[in-house]
Amino acid sequence: MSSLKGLSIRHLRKGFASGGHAVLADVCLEIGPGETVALIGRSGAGKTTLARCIVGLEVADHGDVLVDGARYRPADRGARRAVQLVWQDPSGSLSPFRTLRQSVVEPLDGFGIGAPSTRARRAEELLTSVGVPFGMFDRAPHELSGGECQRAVLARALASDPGVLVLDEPMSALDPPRQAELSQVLARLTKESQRAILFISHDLTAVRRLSSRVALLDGGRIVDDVATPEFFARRGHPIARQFLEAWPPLPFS
Amino acid sequence: MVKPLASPNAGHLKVEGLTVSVGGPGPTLLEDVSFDLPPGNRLALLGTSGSGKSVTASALLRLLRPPLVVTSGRVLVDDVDLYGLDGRSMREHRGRSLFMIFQSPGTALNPCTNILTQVRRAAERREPSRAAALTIAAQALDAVGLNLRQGLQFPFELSGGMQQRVLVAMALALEPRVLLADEPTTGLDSLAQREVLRALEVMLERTGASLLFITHDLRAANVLCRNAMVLDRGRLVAKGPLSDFLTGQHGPAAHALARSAAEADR
Repeated sequence: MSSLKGLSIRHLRKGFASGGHAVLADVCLEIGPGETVALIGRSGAGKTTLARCIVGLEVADHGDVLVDGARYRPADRGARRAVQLVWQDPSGSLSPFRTLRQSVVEPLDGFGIGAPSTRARRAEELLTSVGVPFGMFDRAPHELSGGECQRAVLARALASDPGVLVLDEPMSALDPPRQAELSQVLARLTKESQRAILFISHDLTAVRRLSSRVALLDGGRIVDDVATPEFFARRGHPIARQFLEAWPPLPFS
Repeated sequence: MVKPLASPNAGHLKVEGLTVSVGGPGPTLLEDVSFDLPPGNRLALLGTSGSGKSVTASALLRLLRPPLVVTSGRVLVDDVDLYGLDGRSMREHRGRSLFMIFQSPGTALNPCTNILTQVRRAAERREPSRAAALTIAAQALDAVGLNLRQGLQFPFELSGGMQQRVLVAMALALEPRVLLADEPTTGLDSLAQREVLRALEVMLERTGASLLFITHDLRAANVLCRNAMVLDRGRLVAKGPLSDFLTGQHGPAAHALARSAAEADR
């Protein structure tokens, strides 16, 4: 059991009012290395709460988060390298007083990755790998578009080479061409890396493109966990089918 | 296509040569934008971020903040030029002639007042009797699928999709002649999106209002509109049926939008 690689969520429970109903009743989910699991669910289902519990921003009432078979302890700085989170809103992740390059160097400094003299160079590589043009490295977030900032946030999350990446609605604030650009970057990331990726999204286009499995969170539990083609073939849970049926068609066939 | 019969309440929105720049002589954000939305018609306004969609919406309502200024052009609702009105008359027109639904409904709702009261206050602008306004408000909430128990809640207790439907209910209560919806479904999941789009459809059918639907989502646009315009770097570059956008006959900007939507679908 403990030889299991990737992310393993075991019987996670989290409630906010003492004695009240739990947002997460009993969540179990396994994501292997190289796997991208899309997490869908109605608003208020607890998707973001689950993301926060995984990375340690919330302390679960019960249950475990295992990374490569070991219990994840977010208070341990070394362990924190292994799990990174990207939010919906890039401005919450980037300091307004720092350039993109400085923002990416920061985790390299914090985790002591590489020799100090090599970190600026490494930050450039990371920014380039997610498609941020060189001319923007030394600009502050307010001088850039949301799409450019979000790619820098991704570079920052990748700086510590995490085995687990949690993406919470990373594209929902962007317009279609910017979404397509970021989606391309993420597609490369999900195909090439050996990371376990949890991709929270209600954008079904992105779910189809990026995920290998689709998990549905409802009533505080994962009630459906199927391969992505199965999901889009409407062979999943009734609620999953509702999401698909509500999805309007494109104006052209 | 048969044009919908214009109801007595339908407004005619006509925009002529609307130009917006930064501080007068500065860079132009919107250049010579002209279009015609006949009574009872629906039109989607598409474009990438930064193309000028939201600037257009703000300019139509005269809500641009300095340094942005309208340097030329006219906005006519039923032949009344909004830019020729004094501030007081403009406030009268806002909501009644042109009602705007924004992307983030949270900012348009009062956090300290329950939903029903807010919709009732909107209804009071057309129905001075408080009791009658309350009835209109309750009916409007019902029409968008919100019950009275939800009506007695405060905005923070509702999800984003529900808050958006509260704004649609306000529009129903006010019966504007033209409805502007700026990205009303962005960031919502498909179930919540469908509920908001249905609420908008109900509102349009009951009031007969004309619709300008500003969005970057071709799927959502396709639910409410057959025809669309495309803004590209502050200029209107295309107009035509949405279903033709993938053919390329409406120019590169329309084609790019359609292609990125279709490719993402694969």
